[in-house]
Amino acid sequence: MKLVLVQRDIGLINRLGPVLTVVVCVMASVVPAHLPAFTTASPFFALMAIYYWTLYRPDLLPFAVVFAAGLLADLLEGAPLGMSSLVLLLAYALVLGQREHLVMRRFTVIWLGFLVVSAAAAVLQWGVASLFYGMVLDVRAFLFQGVLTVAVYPVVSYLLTRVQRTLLMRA
Amino acid sequence: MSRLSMPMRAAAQRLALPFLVLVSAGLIVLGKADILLIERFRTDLNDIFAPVFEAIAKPINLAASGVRRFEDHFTVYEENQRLREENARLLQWQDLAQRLESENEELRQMLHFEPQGVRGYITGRVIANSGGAFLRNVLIDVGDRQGVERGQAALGGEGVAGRVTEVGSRASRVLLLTDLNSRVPVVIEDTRERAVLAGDNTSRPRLLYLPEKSAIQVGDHVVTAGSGGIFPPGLPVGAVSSIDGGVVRVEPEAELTHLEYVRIVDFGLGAAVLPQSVIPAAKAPRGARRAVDPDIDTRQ
Repeated sequence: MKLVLVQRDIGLINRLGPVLTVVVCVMASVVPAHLPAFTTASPFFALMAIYYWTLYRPDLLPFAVVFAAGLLADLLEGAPLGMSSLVLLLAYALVLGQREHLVMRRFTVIWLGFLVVSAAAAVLQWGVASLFYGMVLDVRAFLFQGVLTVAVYPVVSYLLTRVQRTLLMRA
Repeated sequence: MSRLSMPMRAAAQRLALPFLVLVSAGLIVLGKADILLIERFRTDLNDIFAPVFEAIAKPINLAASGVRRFEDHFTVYEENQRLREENARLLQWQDLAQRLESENEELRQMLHFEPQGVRGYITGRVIANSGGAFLRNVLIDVGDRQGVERGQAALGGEGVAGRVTEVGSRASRVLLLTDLNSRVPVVIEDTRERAVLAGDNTSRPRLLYLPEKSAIQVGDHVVTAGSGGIFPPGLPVGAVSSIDGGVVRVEPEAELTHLEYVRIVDFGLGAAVLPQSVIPAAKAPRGARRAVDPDIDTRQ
């Protein structure tokens, strides 16, 4: 009940904070960055935001938002509709189940957890895309994107921490 | 939701996940069927997001060009040297092109030949690109308001970059040559053999359906065949980069990994609905240049 009260106290903008960061992350993946490393695939920013908020504030990130974020990503990327929703929802469920083992741990542990989630997401994406196109796609492209995603996570995690602090300070 | 009792809400939460997972899977399956409604939804969303992406892309492009300018300072001497040589070479070509153009004009008049050429170009800025591991497409900031139509060819720099697949009122999507779904009818310029250029997500698409005893060689130029009537014939696509067993790969002439602008080739009926202000401005300098390009390619 206490949680409900806190939720009511923080304003609508603050409550929408995590959702907004997820939308920003979805868009970040499609913005042309002109960076050499991002030329073939950009990091899966949405996965980072979903991971972060599932660990720290799952109460502010309903299933429907995760689903909608995936749809938005697919529409903007021109991907088969539902593919990112599926991957993000399953990642969300995976993290939610393992939350107590990860939250409040050292950053290295959290980063390692993210590595596992990214690897699972990459393999799942590869599997679904291969099924969709009816051919075995090159798994390396998916793993490369996974590696890129894991490498960029500390930066995004830091930015999200700043967002979370601002939200909590106002609450 | 707030009026539901706690157990009810908990149950709803528990069911939400499997339900949404099923919906996602269902959407993927439905997507195989190319449903018109989903297409409409996509283009509408592109239109909505286009201004946002435009706003984001501007500072990023500025920063990227700033970095480039900084790098350029270190290579200014070599670059200058190279450009001088290139300039001298290009002046010769320009001279040749002008002579050929007037000769062509005369011959056409003699034959009363009506050229079935390009009517104009619509230039669009790349505002988003697919970040996925298995998608190769870009979103550009021009749509049917500017005269873009589905199926039109998009040029990036000197060669074909891809084909327009989705058109909204102010944004369109271009499927790049390297995408898994891209198939473009092409001709090998020297041997006149026909083939289909098929993307497979690598940076160099494959040539399919080449004749069995093909005389194709590494370095051969590949141009659009124009069959199907959507792409104009003779647009430069790229050069054969490797022949390995039966697998022939083509290095696209357009730099597909960092496209900043694309030119949509307006050919045929599309030009009829273009506002007058767009056609001459886009057509005059570039149409003339494009006319000599294939010639340069063959002689190099």
